[in-house]
Amino acid sequence: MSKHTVDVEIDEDGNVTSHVEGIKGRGCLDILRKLAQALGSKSSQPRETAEMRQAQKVGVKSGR
Amino acid sequence: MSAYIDTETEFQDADCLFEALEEEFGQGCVQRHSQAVHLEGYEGRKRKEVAHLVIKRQHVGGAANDVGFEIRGKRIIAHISEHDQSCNFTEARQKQVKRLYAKRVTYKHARKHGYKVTEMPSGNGKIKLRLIKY
Repeated sequence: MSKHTVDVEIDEDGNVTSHVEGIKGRGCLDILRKLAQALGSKSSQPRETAEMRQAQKVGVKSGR
Repeated sequence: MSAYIDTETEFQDADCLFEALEEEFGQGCVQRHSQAVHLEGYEGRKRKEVAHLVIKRQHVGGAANDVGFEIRGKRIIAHISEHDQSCNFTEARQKQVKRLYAKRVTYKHARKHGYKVTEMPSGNGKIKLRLIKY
């Protein structure tokens, strides 16, 4: 897997948000999902971002 | 006598919870038992509640009862008395433990998966961690 970063932010209430940079497509979801599982948090399930969806579209195009 | 309130927590990792509690209450203030022990009330009387991680009442606060976390399989149950929830181990302090726990879990997860972790400066009270994989 190529170089990438995961930024994790923990707020005053202990809620966690995270963001991946350097990986496009669903690969970043896998990383965030594993972290959410480790945290055991029901509220920190990963959501799709515009960047991720864009990468998926590009993937579909390149596959044609 | 203040009754204990049993609450199922989101904590799953007893090691990280132990470290988070030690960071909040101070080193040596949290007991860890392989077999659950009975908690004691402020008067020193044993209560029916049992726990594997115990913060003794003298470390919890004034006229406090023991605070305990019981490991039941993959679940961790908090036993905190009604009295302590109102003045010693309040919601704010519980949130602080949750924050410290999340930080510990993130570090542990990151190292396990080969990330380098850097704590970033944050001026808004948030904990910011950057995980880098090369």
